[in-house]
Amino acid sequence: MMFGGPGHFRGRALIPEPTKLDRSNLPVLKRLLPYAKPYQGKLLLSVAFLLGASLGGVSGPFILGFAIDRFIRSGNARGLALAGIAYLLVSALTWVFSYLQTYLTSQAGHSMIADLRQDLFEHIERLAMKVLDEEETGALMSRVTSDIDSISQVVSMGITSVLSDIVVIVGIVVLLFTMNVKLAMISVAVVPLLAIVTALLQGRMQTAFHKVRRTVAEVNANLEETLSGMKVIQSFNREEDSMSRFQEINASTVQANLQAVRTFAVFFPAVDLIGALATAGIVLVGGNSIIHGEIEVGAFAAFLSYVTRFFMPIREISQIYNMLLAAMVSVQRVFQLMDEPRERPGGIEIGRVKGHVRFENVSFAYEEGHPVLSGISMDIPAGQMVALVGPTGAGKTSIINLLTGMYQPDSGKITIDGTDISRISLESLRRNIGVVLQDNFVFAGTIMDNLRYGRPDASLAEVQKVAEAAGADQFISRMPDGYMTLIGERGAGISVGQKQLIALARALLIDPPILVLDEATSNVDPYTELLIQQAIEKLLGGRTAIVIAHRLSTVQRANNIFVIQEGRVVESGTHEQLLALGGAYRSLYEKQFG
Amino acid sequence: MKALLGFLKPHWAPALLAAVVALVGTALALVQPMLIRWVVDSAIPQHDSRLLVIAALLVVAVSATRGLFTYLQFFLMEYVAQKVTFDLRNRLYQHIQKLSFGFFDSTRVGELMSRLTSDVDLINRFVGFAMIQVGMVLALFLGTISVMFRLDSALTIASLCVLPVLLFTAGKFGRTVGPAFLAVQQQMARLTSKLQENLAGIRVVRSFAQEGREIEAFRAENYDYRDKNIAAMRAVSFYQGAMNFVVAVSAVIVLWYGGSRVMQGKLSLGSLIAFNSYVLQLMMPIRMVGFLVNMVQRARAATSRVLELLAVQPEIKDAPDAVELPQVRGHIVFEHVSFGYDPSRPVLKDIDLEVLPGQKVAILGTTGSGKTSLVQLIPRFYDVTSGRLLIDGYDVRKVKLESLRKQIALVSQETFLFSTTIRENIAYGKPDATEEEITEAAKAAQIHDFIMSLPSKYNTVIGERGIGLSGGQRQRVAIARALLCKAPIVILDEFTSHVDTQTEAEIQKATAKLLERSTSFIIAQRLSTVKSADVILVMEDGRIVERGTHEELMRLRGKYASIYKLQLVEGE
Repeated sequence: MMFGGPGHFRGRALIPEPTKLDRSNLPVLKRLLPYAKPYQGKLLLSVAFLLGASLGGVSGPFILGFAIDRFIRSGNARGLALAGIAYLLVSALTWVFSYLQTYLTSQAGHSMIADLRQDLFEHIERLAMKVLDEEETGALMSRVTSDIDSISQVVSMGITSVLSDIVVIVGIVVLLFTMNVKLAMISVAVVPLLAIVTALLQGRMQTAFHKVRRTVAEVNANLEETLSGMKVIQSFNREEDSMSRFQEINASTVQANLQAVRTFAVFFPAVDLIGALATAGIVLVGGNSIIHGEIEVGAFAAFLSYVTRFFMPIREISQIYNMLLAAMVSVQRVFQLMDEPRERPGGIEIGRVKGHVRFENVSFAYEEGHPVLSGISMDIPAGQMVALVGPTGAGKTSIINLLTGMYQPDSGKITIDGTDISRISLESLRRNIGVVLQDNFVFAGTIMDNLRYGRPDASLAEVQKVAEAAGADQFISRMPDGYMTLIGERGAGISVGQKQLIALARALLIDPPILVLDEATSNVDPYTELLIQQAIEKLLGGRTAIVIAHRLSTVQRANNIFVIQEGRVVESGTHEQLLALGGAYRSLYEKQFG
Repeated sequence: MKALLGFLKPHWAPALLAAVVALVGTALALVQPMLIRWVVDSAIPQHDSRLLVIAALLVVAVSATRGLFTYLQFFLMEYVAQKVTFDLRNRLYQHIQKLSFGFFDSTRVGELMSRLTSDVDLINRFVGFAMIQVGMVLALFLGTISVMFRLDSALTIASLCVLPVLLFTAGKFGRTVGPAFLAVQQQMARLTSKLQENLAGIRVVRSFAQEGREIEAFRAENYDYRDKNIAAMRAVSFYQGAMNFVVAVSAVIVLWYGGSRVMQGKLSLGSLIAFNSYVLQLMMPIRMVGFLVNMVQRARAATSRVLELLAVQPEIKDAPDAVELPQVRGHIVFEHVSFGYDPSRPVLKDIDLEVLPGQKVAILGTTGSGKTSLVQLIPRFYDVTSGRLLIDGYDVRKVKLESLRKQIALVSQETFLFSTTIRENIAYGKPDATEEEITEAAKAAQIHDFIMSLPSKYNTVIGERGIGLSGGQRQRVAIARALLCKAPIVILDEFTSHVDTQTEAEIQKATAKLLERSTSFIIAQRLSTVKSADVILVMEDGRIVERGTHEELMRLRGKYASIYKLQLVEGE
């Protein structure tokens, strides 16, 4: 048995999330730099504002202590008033600075990220078909969404937060040492303690939350699947089983969450306790210092309030470290995808072709060592209709993939009107070929949008004309809003057969000199199919048509029929010739009509 | 709101405990500034180092006790929240399972998903965080203010005069920032669906050479997403800065006015320092009020959406007096059956049909003529609008659904398989099937050889996490799944549309044997499939326009004969 198409064993190993910084990954970060360049002015300015904002933010207790010692205790009312005004001014400036800083940073950061996301999307849009077939849609999606988001977090918040945290810590330490060295030492002693506890617990929290996320993803996957398959579940009476399966998964998220909260709930009390230790030390040592006249009450009060302020910046730095780890992987994943080959660019522009298609000894494999097509030669004169028949997996769809330039042949060549298609630009090649596929994708939007997909400027009359030809007009005009009816995600609300009719009309609208129908009417009833065939024949007028079909009734009228088996053309000729030949075609025919 | 609290009811004991624990924790938060005050006003002036030691020990002890309470509070609340979430999800899931096909036709999976995930999460966060936080802010507020009044009522009033401004700013913050982030999320959703559509439809995009247009469309969404992010960050930094400023104003009042009162001897220095701590401690949680209000509102909206879903009545359920349908022979009668998904637009009109046990019925007709609707009435996926449908003399509406559906095997037009092993998929309707039964069904469906060519054979996982199958392969797995049930009634709806002719012929031969004793309904496009049926029905516009055997219909020279001729004559 053969596989019906490319890429059946999919999925590449994802790069796992690391737990510590891998220096060898650092060079990849350099690739982000070009994205920062257009915004470097904004970024520099925001750093300046950040310095102001952070220093303003830590000045409160200092002013309070200073005012107590210099003014309140000596009864200097004017001094006190000045201190109040100073405090007010500093606070106002802090507000302005921090606002400007955040605004500039987020503008630069989000712009950078939007540029990166845009580049990535454009890359995906032009990615070689081989890569697209190999990657799961979900994996590609997560590059553009969650990977970019995790980079975004670091870029637009992380970097400036770290800077501001460092400024805050250094600022406080300097202030404390200028006030009193002994007390400063006691206060600073908690910093390593806090850092250790934070790092330890943060690591465990990270693991716990990781598990939570995983179980949540499991719940989502289970829901997505069972809700989409609810009709099957009900048809087979499997409600109870799926309920108990869901309950199991549901319970595992509860467990994971409770486990996470156990670690998480330790965190704040632990930090609080460390703060209390420092406070106790300052009460003890500072109190004695006051008694001995080494320090004044105001400074003592300032120390007490600074000692609790180390925690926030330390915690933030540790969080951002983790964010950075995740972001490094994301950067790697994003640029790994960026490095995947695109479809071939350039090539000559051709106008409207006549439609003489030739395959000359074409061989092709999706995977080395598993040839799908071996030495295919076909000559299809302009304006002829040919049919490709053969069992599933014989390579019919691969032939179409090569003709439309989705894949390149490994050897041999394909020409249109004598020009090797590998020299033609993909865009002008594809403009000449209208394709209706086996599995037709319909976009969310109105039926009209879908019909006009290849030619957004087509007039209503033109659209109606092709819809009629494709046999789609009848059902469309019966829809509640006619051509303006919205069809949902994956074309919900219309049947598979109707989707095929829309796809057919869509292809006809671009008026291609070459028309390819790959099982285009397999889900349409025979009566409608017949009408379509007659209509297409009328529309064909001079077009070259390549038709793949299982139903031989569709095939019989072709000028030439190629029977494909295991990647080779085993028979070719008209219906009558092939029947007379008494080979593969005849046995197929007898199966269907015997 | 009442409903929200209703979810809590079964877990009231741990919830109450959490509330008590939180209250004690909050009360302990009031102690430390008083200790500092005592140090400054009593211990230091008395030059007594022993008092300092006691104070230092008390600071640590209070913090340790408070830590214990905080831990308990976090844990208990999360416990309650998780229990509520667990119950709610199960309840929703169970409910959804009982809903009928009509409901799934009109409801998107994504919508149901968001009821069970994001809405339930919103309720979770309300129960686990917002509710207790609201209580704590209130308790802290009342506690702090009463302590402050005892220290100095004039200074209390002066320092709290900024409170209305703070509350106003916090409210504004919540109302602005909440929607701003919601807009960000919604834009992300649009971006994601644009992306998803492009990936799923990439072949179409390329065939029509529309990459440029798609890139521009994505650019618009992408940069809109950026702008919404920037707008949200702007709102956050503006209001957060504003709130910090208001708190600073209050601190300035304490410094200035409090300082003057110290100079006048109306306030001790220790009290001033304690006061300063209290004011800051009070203002911090109040800044969260806006967020909390927003959270509560969203939880309420989520609750009403969840309740709305729970209120949907299944259209099709067991009648109170429903009986068990015994093993049937497969005698099916449609009596004047009419049906419409929307009762005003009938899809089936006055169908009369009798099918004898073991008969093979083929149904032909144009797209939309009502073929699928007709067969879907048999397992009672939908109820008839008028008339009745009898199986072995039992009206399908009067028997238990499970006993009815157990006796019907179905292959539907759009094949759905689960992402698990091929074995489990084939045995889906009969989980206890033996190895032989599974292979037999797979062979009949012409999929056995393919399965054996896979690396893990029957244990190969398919779907998102495994290998992808082609349309024809999926269909054949679904056929095997239906055949395995050995049901007395079998429905095959366009079951070989994605299979090539040769394979189809083989499937037919093999299934014919398995279907020998079943009453079967086959909807097909290919006349070769139809020809050998005992009864052929030709449908048009919701009615059966021709019925009979192949020969009878050929003799009739009606629709059937003309289609048949068209198909055949073409080639000759």
